[in-house]
Amino acid sequence: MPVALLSEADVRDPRESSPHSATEELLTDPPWFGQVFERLVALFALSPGWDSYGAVAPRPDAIEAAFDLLLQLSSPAMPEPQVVPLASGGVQLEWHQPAIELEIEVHSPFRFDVFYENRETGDTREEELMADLSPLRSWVDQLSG
Amino acid sequence: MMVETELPDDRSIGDEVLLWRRIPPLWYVSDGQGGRRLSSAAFQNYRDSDGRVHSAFSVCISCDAEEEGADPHGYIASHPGHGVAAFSAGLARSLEQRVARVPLEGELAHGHVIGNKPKSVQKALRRGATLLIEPE
Repeated sequence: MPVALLSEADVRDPRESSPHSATEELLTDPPWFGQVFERLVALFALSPGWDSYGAVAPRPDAIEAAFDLLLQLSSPAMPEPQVVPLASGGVQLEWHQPAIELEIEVHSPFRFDVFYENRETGDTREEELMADLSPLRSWVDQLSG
Repeated sequence: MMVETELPDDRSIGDEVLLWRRIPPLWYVSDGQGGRRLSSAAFQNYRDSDGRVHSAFSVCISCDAEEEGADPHGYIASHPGHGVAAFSAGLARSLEQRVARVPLEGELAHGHVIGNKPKSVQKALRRGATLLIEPE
C-alpha cells in the first residue's frame, strides 16, 4: 500500500500482539507510551522531501520496527524517547540525560545502529546490532536507573 | 553532475566559511533538561528514492550565498517552520569530510559535505553547530 494512503487506522497497534493481558499492560506500560505511539504513527504521513532536501519518506517497516523495539525494551521506569525521522527512511529513537546519551537508528526489523555514551564512566560505544539486542537492554536499564 | 565520491575537497572554500543546513522541526528535540537541541539526525548522509545511500548531505555555502545577497532567513524563506544550523568548513574537514560546490538551478550556493558519517561524526557536527535560526 502506498505510504501516502496509510492512516492511523491502517497501523497495527503492536500491543495487540503483546503476550501481556490488558491489565498487565496498564501496569507495565510507561506513561508516555501512548504519546510516543502517536508520534510514530504520524511519521507515516511524511511525504518524500519532508526535510526540504529530498529525504525518503519514513519506511513502514522501519516505523513498525521502532514500535516493536520499544515494546521489547519498555518498562514503567523507562524515560520517554524522542522520535526522529531519518533522511534515509529510518527512524531514530534518542534519549538525552546529563550523564547518558543513547541513540538507536532503526533501519529495518533486523538492523539497528546504536550510539551509547556514559559521560560518568567515559564509556562510548557505537555498534550495529542485528538480532541480538542484549547490549541495548543493559544501556536502556541505565537510563531507567 | 559528478557523483559526490568523485568530488575533491574545494580548498577555495576556507576553513572559516560557515555552511548552513536547514533544520526541520522534527530534528529539534528535547534535551532532557527542559530545553531543546539539534538531533544528530540532521547530519546524516542522504539516500535517494532508489534506496542508494550517498556519502554526502547538502548545505548552503555561506560566502557564496552572501555574494548573491542571501542570508540565513532567505535560505529558509520557502520552508516555513525550518531553522538554520551553521558549522564551519574547517570543522567538517577535521572530521575527514570534504566540502564541495554543487551549484543547482536556483541555488548557486548549494554544496555537499562529503564523507563517511558514522554516529561519532554526526554527533561532532551536532556539537560544533550553532543554531542561527530556531525551528518553530
